[in-house]
Parts: sequence; C-alpha cells; structure tokens
Amino acid sequence: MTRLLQDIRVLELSEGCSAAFCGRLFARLGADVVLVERPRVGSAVRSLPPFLDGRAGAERSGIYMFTASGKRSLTLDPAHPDGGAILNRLLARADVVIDDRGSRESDDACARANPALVRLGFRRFAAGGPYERWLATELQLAALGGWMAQLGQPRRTPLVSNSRTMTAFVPGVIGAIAALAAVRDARAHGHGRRIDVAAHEALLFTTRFNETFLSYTGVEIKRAGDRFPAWAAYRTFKAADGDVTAAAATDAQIEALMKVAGVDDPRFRTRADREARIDEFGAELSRWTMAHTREEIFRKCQENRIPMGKVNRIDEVATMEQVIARGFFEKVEWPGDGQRRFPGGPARFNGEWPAPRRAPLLGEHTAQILSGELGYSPADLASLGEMGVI
Amino acid sequence: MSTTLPLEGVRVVDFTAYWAGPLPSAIMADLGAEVIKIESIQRPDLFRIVAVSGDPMEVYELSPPFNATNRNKLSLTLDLTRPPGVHLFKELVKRSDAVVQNYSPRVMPQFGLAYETLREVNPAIVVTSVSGFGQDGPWRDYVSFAAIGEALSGISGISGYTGEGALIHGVGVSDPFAGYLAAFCTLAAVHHARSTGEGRHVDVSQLEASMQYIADALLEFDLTGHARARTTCDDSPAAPHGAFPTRGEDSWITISVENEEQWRALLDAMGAPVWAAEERFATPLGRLKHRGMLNQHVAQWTAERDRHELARELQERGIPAAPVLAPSDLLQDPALRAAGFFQEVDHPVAGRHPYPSFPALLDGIHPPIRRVGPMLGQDNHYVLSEILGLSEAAIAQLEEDRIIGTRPAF
Repeated sequence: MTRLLQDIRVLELSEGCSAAFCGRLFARLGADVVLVERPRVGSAVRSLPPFLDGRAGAERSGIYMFTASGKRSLTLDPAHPDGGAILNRLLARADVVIDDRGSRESDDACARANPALVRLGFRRFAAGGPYERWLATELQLAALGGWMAQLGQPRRTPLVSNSRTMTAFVPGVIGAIAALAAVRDARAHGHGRRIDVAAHEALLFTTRFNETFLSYTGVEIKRAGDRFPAWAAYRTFKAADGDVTAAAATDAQIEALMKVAGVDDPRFRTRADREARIDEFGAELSRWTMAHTREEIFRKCQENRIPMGKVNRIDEVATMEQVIARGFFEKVEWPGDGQRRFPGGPARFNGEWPAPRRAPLLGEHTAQILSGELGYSPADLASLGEMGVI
Repeated sequence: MSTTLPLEGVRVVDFTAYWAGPLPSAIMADLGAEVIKIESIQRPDLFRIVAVSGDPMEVYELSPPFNATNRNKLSLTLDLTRPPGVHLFKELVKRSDAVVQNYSPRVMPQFGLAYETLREVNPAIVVTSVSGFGQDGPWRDYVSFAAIGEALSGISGISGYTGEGALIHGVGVSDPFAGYLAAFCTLAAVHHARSTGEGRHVDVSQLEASMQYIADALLEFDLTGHARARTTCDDSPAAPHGAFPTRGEDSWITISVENEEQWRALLDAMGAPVWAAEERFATPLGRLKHRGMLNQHVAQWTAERDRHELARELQERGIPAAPVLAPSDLLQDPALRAAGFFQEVDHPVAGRHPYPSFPALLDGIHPPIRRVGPMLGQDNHYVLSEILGLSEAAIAQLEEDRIIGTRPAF
C-alpha cells in the first residue's frame, strides 16, 4: 500500500511547473488532488512542451501528463460569483491549497474560508525584495540562484542543463515538504499556515553551500569544466565511445582506480602529489579510459568498488539493466493514443512503487465533484456550464 | 498564525554521511524535528574531512559543507560494530518516528539493523534508505556519489557545450535531488504511521530521483522519439536567449527574449543597430535560425556594460535579464540580504559564518538555524540520559569502552 496520504485533500490552482510537480508528489502518494482549471482552456501547464508527436494541444503536453498523474480535473471560473462559491466550499474541506497565481487578497480569502488550511504559494522571487517584480525564465533563475556559475568551463560561457524541469521542479519539492510538514501541525492544533517558496532561494539552497565555504576558507568555488574543483579523480574522462565519470573521493578509491588503470608512478603516490600534478595525473588515467568502452570501464571499476559511471545519452537511460530490473519506468494508458512509458517515482515503499495513474482530461471530474460530492443537481451543472462557470 | 515549528514532537535518527542522506534529515530538523545524528569515533561522517584540506584531526569540526548540512541536529556517537552500540541504536528507534540512512544496502544488515529487525523493535518506525541505485537490482552494491547519478541518469548527456564532451555539474544535483524526495517520502510515511501504527521502508535512489527532475527530456524521447543533447544554451523556442559576456573578468548576463514586444524593447535598448535591420532577424523564426550570428551581435553590445546595471535597465524595459552570480556575489546580493536568507550562526570551533536558510517562509519567516555542526558526540549525555534514561555511571562506562566519545580516530 503506497497511498500514504489518502486522508489528505489538496486543491491545486497551478499555472507553472513548480506547483504542478508539487501537486504530483501529493497525488502519487494517494492524496486527493483536485486541479482547478480554467473552463475550455485548462491550466497553462497544458501548453508546456514537449508535446505528443511534437504537436501542441490541451491533451498533448508531456509535462501535463507527467505532473497531473493521479490528480482530478475540475473546470471552474473562480471570478464568477457561483465559481467563487464553489471554490470556497472546496477550500473549506481541503488541507492544502497550492496556488502559484495567488495574490495577498486571495490568500486572505483562503484563510477565511478555512482557518486550518495550509496555503502554499510559489513565486520567482521573495515578496518585498528588490527582484520582486523582475521577469525571469528558468535561465534568469539559474543565473541569480547560483547554478550557472557552477556549470561550464572556467572563463567560458556559464551554462544551464538542457532541461527546464530540472530547475523548475526544485521549488516544487521544497514546497511539498514544507506543506506536508504543516499539515501535521494544522491537524494537531487546528491552525493553518502560509508557506511561500521563492524559486530563487530554492535553487540557491540546492547548491553545495559554496557561500559558507567562501566565508570559512576565502576560496570561491566556481565551475571547473569536466571536474569538481581540486579533487584529483572526481571528473569525467574520455572513453572509446563517449565519456565516463569518476567520483573517487577517498584515497582508497583513487588508489583502487590507479590499480585498475595500471597507473603505477611515483609522481602520484600521495594525495598531495596527485593534486599538485592534477593534469598529468588525469592524462595518465585517460590513457586507460580511452582504450576501453564506457560499459567496460563502468563494470571494471564498480566490480572493484570504485565510484564510476558511464555518461548516458537520453535515449540510453531507459535501457539500463538496473532501471529495468527495478521497474522505474511505468506504462500509462493515454486516451486515444495507447500506451506511454513515463518515469515513475518518487520512491519505493516496502518494495512497491506507487501505482501508475494517468492524468485527467480537461474537466474530467467536474460532474463527479460538483454533483457527487458537493450536491449540485444535473440541472445546476447545466446552468453553470451555460454561464461559463464550469 | 502559528509560533511553533511544524515538526515539533517528531524524532528522527540520522545515520548518514556526505550530503544526500544528511540533507533530508537537516530539512526535518529545520522544520522542528528533533534529529539525532549518529556517527562513531571509529568512523565519523567523512564529509567532515573530504571537503577540506589539512590534517583530519585538525579539521574535522571545520568542514563548511558538513557544518552547513548538519544544522539543527544533535550529535551522538555509537560504535555500531559492538553490541552495546547496536542495543542503544534500537532503544532510540523505539522512541523515534523515522530513521534516515544512506549507506550501501549491505551496511545496515551487517550491523544487525535491517529494516525487518527495526520493525520488530518499533512497528511504526519509518526507515528511509537513500542510496545510489536502490535497495535491490543488479547494481544495488555499486558505489555512487553525486556525479555518478548525474552521469547515468542522462543529466550529463544534456549538460555542456554544443557538440562537446560531458562536464561535472558543480551543484552536485543528484545528491539534493534524492535528498528532497527522501524528505517528502519520509514525512508521508510518518504521516501514515502516526494514524495507522504501520511504518514503511522508503527506498530512494539517486539515479531514479535524478531521472524525475529531467522528466521533460525523458518525456520528449517517449512522446516524439527525439533525444535531446547538450546545447550551449538550452533549447529555447525563442532567440536571443542565453548568457552574454559583460565588463570585467568572468562576468556575464543572461537575456531571454520571448516575444515581439521584448524584441522591440531590446532593439530600443541597443539603439536600433544597423545589423538588426537585416531581413534574417525580422521574424522570430529568422532569429531562431540565425541565433549564432544574433548572439554574436548581442554579445558585442553587452561586452562593455556592467552586468548589474544592464540587468536593471533591461528589466525596466520588460525584458527577462539577470546577472550570473557566483558565491562572492551571492553573499552580497541585495535580494538575499533583504530576505535574511543567509543566517549568521556561531560555532564553537569554526566561529561565526553565514548559512543558507531552508528556502520557504512559514508565516513570513525562514525557519531559524539554531545551531550548526554539530561537534562530534556533543550531545552524548543529553541523548543517553534524557532520552534513554541511562545513569551517569552507565554513560561513563560507555565512554571508557569507547562505544561513545568525542575524539575521532581517522
């Protein structure tokens, strides 16, 4: 049984990837997550690429299909008085509201509707600060959040990875952690909380405490290309068919790597020797790696307890024997398209993955929620539909 | 509005090292849980020494990443290779909600502390194991650090310059990616255990965690068959979009033009340069197709400007732009200062330094960092006497037998 959060109700008003990933985490573990979408057009997450067969459409966004797994979809216009009344009833029975488009006023309204509600908001930058009104794509967030300074060759253009979810999901999981912690407290004491996550801060927290390091040592850690600064064997190497990455941190691991690679040279005997001649040392190890395939190097090193990885291309990831053996990718039926194969997660519980559940179609659960749970009649639903509320 | 921290009353046993395991329990400590970090004087957490140079015996309380990662935790030393240590570990498990550990899957059973055993001691205990590859499967005993998860997961395959080789991501992304999911899953299992009395073994791997964060790349391959690769600038559907050099050494600004209005605003800022009148730059598709040449023109314009002033100017004109900030910039960043993001905290050996807050405001406030470190074994007496009820004589005996202590043996 992986439905650990089945007694938690979440209301999600999301337009961005961070809030959507946050909702996904709750839904995967069994919470009832109702995604409130704009009538006819749906959440803006539905317009995010990649798309099924590369063609945009409300039911074709991969990010939507992935992040909305296991959620229910309700279409609603909260600006309409009847829409607002429905929203208040949903807020009254919810534990958490996730809102990345909210204002101070809407937050106050949520707190009035339900004092025990945990109100989670996502924004790019902290409210009240100098960047509050700054515009930002994932690139600006990575620049200000300390990530770009840590990827790339020294002095050459700083980089981001070619994945927007990689940074966008970070504030999402931070928010999920804080909100779930707050639910416990709200249940125990009857009072909710306001939780604000700024993407800028979430990204910076994720870097390896480089500012603290600078304060202690006077040394500024910045991108070092194919290696981690100053570590002799924590770096990539060229193999015969691509790249491998060694993460040998301890002297024992480095010495085991030297043995496997046949590097027996008095110039590299101690840690200090290796760090003083870091490029020559790397060149010696490269002579061995370049003569072998990624797979051979990976196996040989791991069999000798040396942390070594092969650098996979995106098309190779799902074919790793470990990934297949653990069943990480899951099969999801997508209406009208057949079976997709998506990343699963977030983790296994007593050996079990959360069951695969597809994302809802736009408004798929509107009738179920309004008549089944809130007691509106079929005639009410028809009227609400004609008024454009649902 | 609440004045307490949300996890007050939750107790976590932390048996972790380096970053991926210590991080989730640090987050729980920030949010108010009582987290007891267990090391031994025979085998302290190596994060105390690998990240700093110098004699281990001199520097083990001076590791910035160790002291930052283990904030708000208590420290207990226990030699788990001997029965009294194992017994005390189990006594703590009886009185705790969760255990977080990140050793390879062989280690806990070797100590006689497998999940099945701990469940007998406390059926409601949640045991979270963070590992490189997971608790089973052919690679379960393989060794991993952050860069390994990064390489295998596909992250390294999409991180670097167009057409060039793999780089190391200095952020060490696989560790926090796994750590964050571990924190969420642990709290979910504790939530369930508190109402049902049933614990769980939570199995988080760096490899699987990393793949979830690059979902867009993996989904794209499934939905379209296209496997994206490294690009100097991410595959934005608009141009210009990227990092451009500015005045000074290793100084850069990012600029992203996403629509016609922003493009016109950029032209205004640049003073309507002659090159921009060329037909190939007239439409979004043209600019995308000729982005290499376009970027060169923009770079020439940015090269003599100050990144901070230029970012402010472009933002005022409605264009997403921001300077690339390195650690020395971040310590001075006005937005982080205004938010009180770095908290200055004293440490008995290391002195006073800035540490980043958990990045969420709870009713407007970052959770406080009450202490950093901790120093090895500094809470032995508190834990053994207040929580486990041992007598002073019993604690003295443990010290004499070196089951506990405060001086490591590296």
